[in-house]
Amino acid sequence: MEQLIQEAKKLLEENKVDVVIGYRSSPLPPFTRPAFIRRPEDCEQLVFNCGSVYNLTRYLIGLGEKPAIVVKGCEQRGLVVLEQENMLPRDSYLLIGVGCSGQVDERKLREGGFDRLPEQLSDELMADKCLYCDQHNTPDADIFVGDEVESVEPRTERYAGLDEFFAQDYEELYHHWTEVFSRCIRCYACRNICPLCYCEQCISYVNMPQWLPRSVADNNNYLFHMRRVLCMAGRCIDCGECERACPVDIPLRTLYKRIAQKIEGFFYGYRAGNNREQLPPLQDFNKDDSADFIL
Amino acid sequence: MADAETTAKTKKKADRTGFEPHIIGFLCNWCTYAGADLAGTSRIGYPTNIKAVRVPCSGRVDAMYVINALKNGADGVLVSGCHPGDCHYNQGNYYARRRFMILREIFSAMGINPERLQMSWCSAAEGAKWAQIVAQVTEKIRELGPFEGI
Amino acid sequence: MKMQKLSEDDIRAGLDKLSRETVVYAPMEQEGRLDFRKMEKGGEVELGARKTIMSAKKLFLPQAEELFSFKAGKHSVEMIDPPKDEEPLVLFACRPCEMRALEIMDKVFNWDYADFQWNERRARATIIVFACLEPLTETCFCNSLGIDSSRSDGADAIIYTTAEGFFARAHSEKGKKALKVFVGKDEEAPEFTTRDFPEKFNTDLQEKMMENFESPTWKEIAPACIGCGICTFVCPTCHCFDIQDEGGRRVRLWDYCTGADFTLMLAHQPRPTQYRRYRQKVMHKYSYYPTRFGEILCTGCGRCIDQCPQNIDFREVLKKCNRLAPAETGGEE
Repeated sequence: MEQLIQEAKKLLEENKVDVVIGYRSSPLPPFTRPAFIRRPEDCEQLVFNCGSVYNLTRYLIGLGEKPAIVVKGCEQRGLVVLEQENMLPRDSYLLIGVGCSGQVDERKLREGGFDRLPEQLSDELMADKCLYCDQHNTPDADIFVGDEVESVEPRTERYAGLDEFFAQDYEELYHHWTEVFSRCIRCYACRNICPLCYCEQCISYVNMPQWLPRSVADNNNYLFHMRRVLCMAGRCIDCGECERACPVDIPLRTLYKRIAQKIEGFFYGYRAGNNREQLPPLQDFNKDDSADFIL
Repeated sequence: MADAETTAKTKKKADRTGFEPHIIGFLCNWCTYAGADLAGTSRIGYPTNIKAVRVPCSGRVDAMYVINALKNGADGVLVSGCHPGDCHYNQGNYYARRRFMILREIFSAMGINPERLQMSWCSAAEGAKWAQIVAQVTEKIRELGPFEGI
Repeated sequence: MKMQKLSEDDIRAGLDKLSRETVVYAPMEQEGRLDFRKMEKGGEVELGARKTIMSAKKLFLPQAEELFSFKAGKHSVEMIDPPKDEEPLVLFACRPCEMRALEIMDKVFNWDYADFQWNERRARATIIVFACLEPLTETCFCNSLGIDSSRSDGADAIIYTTAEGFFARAHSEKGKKALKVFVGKDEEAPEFTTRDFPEKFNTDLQEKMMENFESPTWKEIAPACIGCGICTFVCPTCHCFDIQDEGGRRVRLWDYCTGADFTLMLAHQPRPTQYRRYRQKVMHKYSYYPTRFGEILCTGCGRCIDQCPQNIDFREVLKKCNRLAPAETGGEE
């Protein structure tokens, strides 16, 4: 990634940005970690490979410095949502675009006992969101480094298996989710890692009234996660960070994707972050919205 | 609150056959609440299972209100506002419509029967319609039985 | 020295028997996640060299614990004690670092106020430690904290894993009693020493950190921290808690200093930026706690490194702290 290093160096030397947010290598899986580069001589550390799993856009809000940031195609959608929500103006950062042909699944890497990244990333080791990726190259980049990746046929469906899973009856589903959430340890990593969770005071902080009781109990965890699904409705860009961060492997994206699927059906094919001009569904309305359920 | 919660829950468990649902209604001040008033002054009878909460607009009803009502012992929730185009604040009910459409999907994905959340349009002149809505909702929730989730 | 020699089958059979007599917590796998769980059958316990996700701390300081509940009458408030759990408990196969962590935390829980829940749980628990002759994972660094993981004097009993089988030795009466369920002959045991641990680094940072509290280097120590609670929740020594009233119950919950809401008050946030929160985490462990109690609040178990979603290496953080230098201009920005 010689070009990335050169461009980053140039930006810092010319004082165009204060910090370059990218990836550097690490001895531990997934063999990279976020890097905050402030000195031109440190730019040599920058890498980009199939282990660059982190969604760095999470660091932009409240950074207080002018950054240049390496953003993959899928993550750029988050920046669009933040812009639509007036949280992050487009000119507050420089977007370094890359071509990404898929990222590893950190968990599979650990389980397989790999001591370095595979040379060629196979579909088995790939994160499942990458198997149906339709945005390999970062759109709207200020600087694009490296070669553009040719788009590949998706290997799976975006919403594969959801209809079958949610065909279970309510009791089974309720039982399933309370059981899954009973192992939640309320570390809030799913919230904190999310590029779209920017509330300065999360509703889970509020204790007068206490909307979301904090003690770890099946129902409280269920409630917290229900609230998070609500927060992500129509906004989730499916970057997969919440699931990657979860220390107890809660399949959060199953829920987020289900709602995204429904929203896509209801609101004229809306997909979060795909189109700057199309407002997020809960910020907007249409007089002809379906009203079947209304008495 | 804890007390009310436990009594509500034990009551429900104790007697399922004579089950009387608790329904919380969030009524828009400008239309439905006035409509309910009209039903009262016109002496139209309707089930007393509904406990009305007056809100400025159906768009004011946060999804957390609905979830919290269910959590604290309600068996169903009814959100009722002005007919489309009649909102006192022009568009509040349109936002509410989308919000509860999605909330119902969340309920069904997470295993709560979405029918526990009902929504209706009822204007200030529709006292009779209000009585009919409440009867209909009460019947629906009665069929679903006591809510034992969250 | 003579020790009780056991085979894997002896241990599993013994655990099976033990779990019928008393509550046994041991590392068990569920859907690929290894954690201390209440034992139902001896067959499922993990006896190999693997690290659990959460540490054994959760058995002594539960994540959510009711302190009392209350009922308000018209003119009175009735206070109700929580249901007491008085069953003896056996904690099987925790590691020397986790045992050490309990000893370290004993100090804070008996400092100005003796925490009876903690002490009561400590008293009724029999702890059987599995010694680590080799590091469990590449993230272990307990040797840098002066822990010899081939022994665990505070534990009730210790078990060594060798190629020929297991060697067990009791340190206390409780331990002796617990080991009785395992059949096995006394045999001469070899000398146990640790090997293959990573190179030690300096962890005596108490003064250095105090002197350099205002150093701008703190900003570069862990800029990637997202402020979640994973590292504190999996840590065997982190013990900060929060008290909440939840519908008539007063509960004590784990809290995490890396999160923004830890210090959030109605009108003021004394630690407004993430680096300040991270500094608090490091300094509590390596400066404030040693100053007050003479021990570092870290045992080098490496769980925070294993579980950090942003791959922050706590060893690297400590090495950076070793290089802390005073600010050139002085003062924070």
